[in-house]
Amino acid sequence: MSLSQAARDRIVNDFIPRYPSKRAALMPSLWLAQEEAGWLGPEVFEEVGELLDLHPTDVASVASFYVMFHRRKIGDRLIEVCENPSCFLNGSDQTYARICDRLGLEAGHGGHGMQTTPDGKFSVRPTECLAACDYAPVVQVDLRFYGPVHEADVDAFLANMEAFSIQGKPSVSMANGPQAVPVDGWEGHAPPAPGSAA
Amino acid sequence: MTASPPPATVTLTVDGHEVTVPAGTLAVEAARAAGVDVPVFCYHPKLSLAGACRMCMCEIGMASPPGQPPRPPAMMTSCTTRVSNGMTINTMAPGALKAREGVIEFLLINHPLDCPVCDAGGECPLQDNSHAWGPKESRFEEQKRLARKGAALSPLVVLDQERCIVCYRCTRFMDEVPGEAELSFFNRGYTSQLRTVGDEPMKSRFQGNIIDLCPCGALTSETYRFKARPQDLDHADSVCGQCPVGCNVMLDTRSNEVARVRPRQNEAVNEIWICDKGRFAHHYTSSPNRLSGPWVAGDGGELRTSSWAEAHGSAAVRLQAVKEKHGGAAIGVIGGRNLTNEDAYALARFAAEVLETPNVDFRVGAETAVANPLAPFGLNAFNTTLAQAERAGAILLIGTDVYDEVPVQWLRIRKGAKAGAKLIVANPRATEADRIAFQRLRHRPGSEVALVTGILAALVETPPVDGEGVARDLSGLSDAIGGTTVEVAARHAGVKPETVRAVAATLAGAKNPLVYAGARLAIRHDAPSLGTALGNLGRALGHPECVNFFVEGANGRGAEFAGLVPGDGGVPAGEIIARAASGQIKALYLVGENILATHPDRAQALAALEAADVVVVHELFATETASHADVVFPAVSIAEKDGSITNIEGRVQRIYQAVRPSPDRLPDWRILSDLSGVMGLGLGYVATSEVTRDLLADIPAYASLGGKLPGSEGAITREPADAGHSDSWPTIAPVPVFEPGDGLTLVTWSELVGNETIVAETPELLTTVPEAYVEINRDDASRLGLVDGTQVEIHGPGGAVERVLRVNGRVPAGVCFAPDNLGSPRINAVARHGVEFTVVTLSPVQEAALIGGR
Ligand code: SF4
Ligand code: SF4
Ligand code: FES
Ligand code: FES
Repeated sequence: MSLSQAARDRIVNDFIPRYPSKRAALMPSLWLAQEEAGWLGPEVFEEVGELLDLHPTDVASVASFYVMFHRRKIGDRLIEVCENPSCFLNGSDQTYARICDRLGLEAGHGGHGMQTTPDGKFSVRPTECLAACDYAPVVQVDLRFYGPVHEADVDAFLANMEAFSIQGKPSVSMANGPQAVPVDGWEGHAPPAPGSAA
Repeated sequence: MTASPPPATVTLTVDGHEVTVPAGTLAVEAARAAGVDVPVFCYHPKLSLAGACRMCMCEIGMASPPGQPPRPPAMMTSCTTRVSNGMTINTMAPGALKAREGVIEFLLINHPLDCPVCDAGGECPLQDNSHAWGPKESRFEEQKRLARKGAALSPLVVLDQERCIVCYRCTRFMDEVPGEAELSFFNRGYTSQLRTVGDEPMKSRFQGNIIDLCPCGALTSETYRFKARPQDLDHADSVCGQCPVGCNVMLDTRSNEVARVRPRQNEAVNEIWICDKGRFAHHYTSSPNRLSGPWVAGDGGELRTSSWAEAHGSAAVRLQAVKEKHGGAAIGVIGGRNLTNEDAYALARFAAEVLETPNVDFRVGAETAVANPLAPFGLNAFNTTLAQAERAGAILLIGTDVYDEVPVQWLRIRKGAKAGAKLIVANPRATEADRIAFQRLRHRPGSEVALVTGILAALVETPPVDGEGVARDLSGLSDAIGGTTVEVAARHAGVKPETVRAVAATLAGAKNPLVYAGARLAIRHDAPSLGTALGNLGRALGHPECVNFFVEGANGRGAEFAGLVPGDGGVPAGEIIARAASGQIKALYLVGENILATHPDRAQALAALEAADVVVVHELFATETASHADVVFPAVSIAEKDGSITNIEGRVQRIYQAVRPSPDRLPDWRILSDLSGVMGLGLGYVATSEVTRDLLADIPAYASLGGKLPGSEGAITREPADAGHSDSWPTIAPVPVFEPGDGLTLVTWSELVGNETIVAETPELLTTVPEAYVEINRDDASRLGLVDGTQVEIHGPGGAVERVLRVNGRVPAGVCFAPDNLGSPRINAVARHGVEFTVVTLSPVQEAALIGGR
């Protein structure tokens, strides 16, 4: 798996000129390489290194810093379950366990350990806060997030993720204003109702 | 507000003491200037700032702007804070002590504390800082982090990930100093792992330095691991004997054997670095394979051990016989480039006074009797100091791969280039320096004179302009190059005229230009022409002394100064062997030279050894050449010697004996002195100091030393200028015309670490030596139908050898490159001496032949 000519051209003609140093073009270059192949293989470190005058070790080291760069081949779809407090308190650990179970994977696989189904269709791993805590527990599939997905929803979710799409759904607090947040004694910073003057 | 120039110095207080330091000084250094050592881990004066470990925390207060209330002091890392006027640094503030204690506690949580089995134990900054600043008890009761231990980063460097405190000294060094960022941290935080991409073994020849830099036992040396405790070691100051840079080293010995080699700081030479050859290739000094006791050939020619007296007697009788029958000139003396000054001086005297031969040469393979190509300009062969490379405006490297030829000086050249020197690399083949070169000239093999003449022609076209805007008068130079135009010269050199003009402009525009020419160019038949061309270049640039020729051998310069070069009517080393092969020279006296491996024509060297009536050899090992000798004297290694050596820049440096030699081996000067006694013309030396005394008095270059060897910095020495030199522009011989033949022109070069006898005694280092290869261009490979990685046969005028083929873009079409210190037999088996360009053909080795077995 190597970089396509189009990717090389884009790195050389678009990314590199954007920055004062070639090394600064590393992140977009790695992103592009992963867009193409779904993961970053050893050849990519060589090839990107050659284009940016970097040692392949340097390239691989940067890639390894970010969990969203994959240095191993992953499944066709990447399912990530948020394990941070809001989601956890809403049972994301059970959601995670259930997803693993349904896909024939081991739950309780700690850290950011990634598991991939033998048929290569899915990879599953826990993740940090996805900044969509109001839909907790949140599940992200290929950079698109869904929620809430409780343990009991998992089968339906796996059958039809779109039903759980947050996209297009109004945000609870934003759309419905104060009444949607029935917390006693909370005087909070409710956003102005739509249409009201700033 | 009016802008005032920034002050040159800054005054501040450190723990109540006022100090004045240059502006821009780091707080940690200012404290040091005040006599206070702030503990550090990640900070290193030779590396960029990291601020990674937080060990150096001090309470630092800044003077507040006039009229404003005083600002409370704050906890800051003193290794990243630059001083300012009125700053107060409190290194012992309660907060600072607490911070340090906290840092140590954290570091030790993740540290295995396996000091009892750690090589660093006893010389470990983590131990020392814990002892001095750490909490005296640990609160940590949990399971320690587990990570890889004893992991090989290469055959030479071992990593213990558990011990690593993630200070980034090693990764910064690799990236910043040799520029080989092959080591880096993977993942982050708690899971940080030091690795190479794909866990490939590290390849850099400077990697050993990270062992010294590591502030704990995370990085250790494979060859020294578990060999000694620091307190068991004895130390001797010495100088590396593997190349002409002359890095200062410390030989650490245990039980009279060298246990390890470490760099010794000398800012003028190696700063604090050494290369891996200098560091690891020392096991030969204590090898059981060393020669022990002399050998003498019996009547049938077979060698047998003998007493010293018999060996001396035998050598004396045989040499005397040749001298009486054919005259002293029938004896050729080759060697001396790796000896001490004392040995070289004794050898020069032995040749001149006892053997009475002018045929002496330390420059193996030399084709010119001229030892200093720059003599017509009143210059030495080397005229600058090594440190000057740091301040150069432009550096022209011609005929050298500095990474292999002068390894640690390459680090200095890189430093210069990083500071703005424009690096120009002229070489038929891509070298390591090309990676950071400003301009590259990929010229035809052997066309250096044409190339430099082209640069001179370009300077005549557009003369350099001095500070006042006045163009230099180069009309005399125009005559010296005989009207050669840039176009003509460039065509002969196989480069573009525009590139030649651009290079000339770079050199002309540089404040301190510097020219380094490879040692091999200095011994080639056209060296005098090249010397004239480069000497003219220096003059044209207004810096006559900027031109420098390298020299081969750890003490090549010392050998040159000592006079181990052809005397009146004498012939160079290459010719000595040619004449021995043809029977004109009857005896060969070889001191530490395995000519079968190093003379450019192996068949001729073999013929010379077979034809010579007498062959006397001084050696450490039973080399192939020694097996052809009539008398073999076992010599001592550099670790067993006292004396001095002179590095490439003419710096005389002292070496001290680290290992007491066995009585079965003697220093070369002693062997020569004793032999001269038997021959009735005794040099009469019994102590090194006597030889030193005489050489300091006798050798013109050392007159400046005032009869004493210099102290630890060493001292630069120069040969007095030739009286005959003039200030006119010497004429350069017309540019030779190059006629490429059908085959590939062979270019050879020595890798820094080859499979040489002394490297072979360090198996860990030997495993890093690549399989003997030959390199050709992709176009030639497809034209010849040859495939990368396959076995090929190289046929040349002298014979054929097999090599593994590397196909890449490092050589231009029409050229093939093969290192001359890899493989057996060496590439010198295909070449013929005296053939200007060795043209070879390559053919695939048939699989059938491989299966059939050989
Ligand atoms: S291996 Fe040593 S030098 Fe490298 S980061 Fe770890 S502690 Fe520092
Ligand atoms: S650069 Fe030369 S002198 Fe220095 S350590 Fe290496 S071989 Fe020895
Ligand atoms: S905690 Fe899960 S999205 Fe924020
Ligand atoms: S020494 Fe200052 S932060 Fe490491």
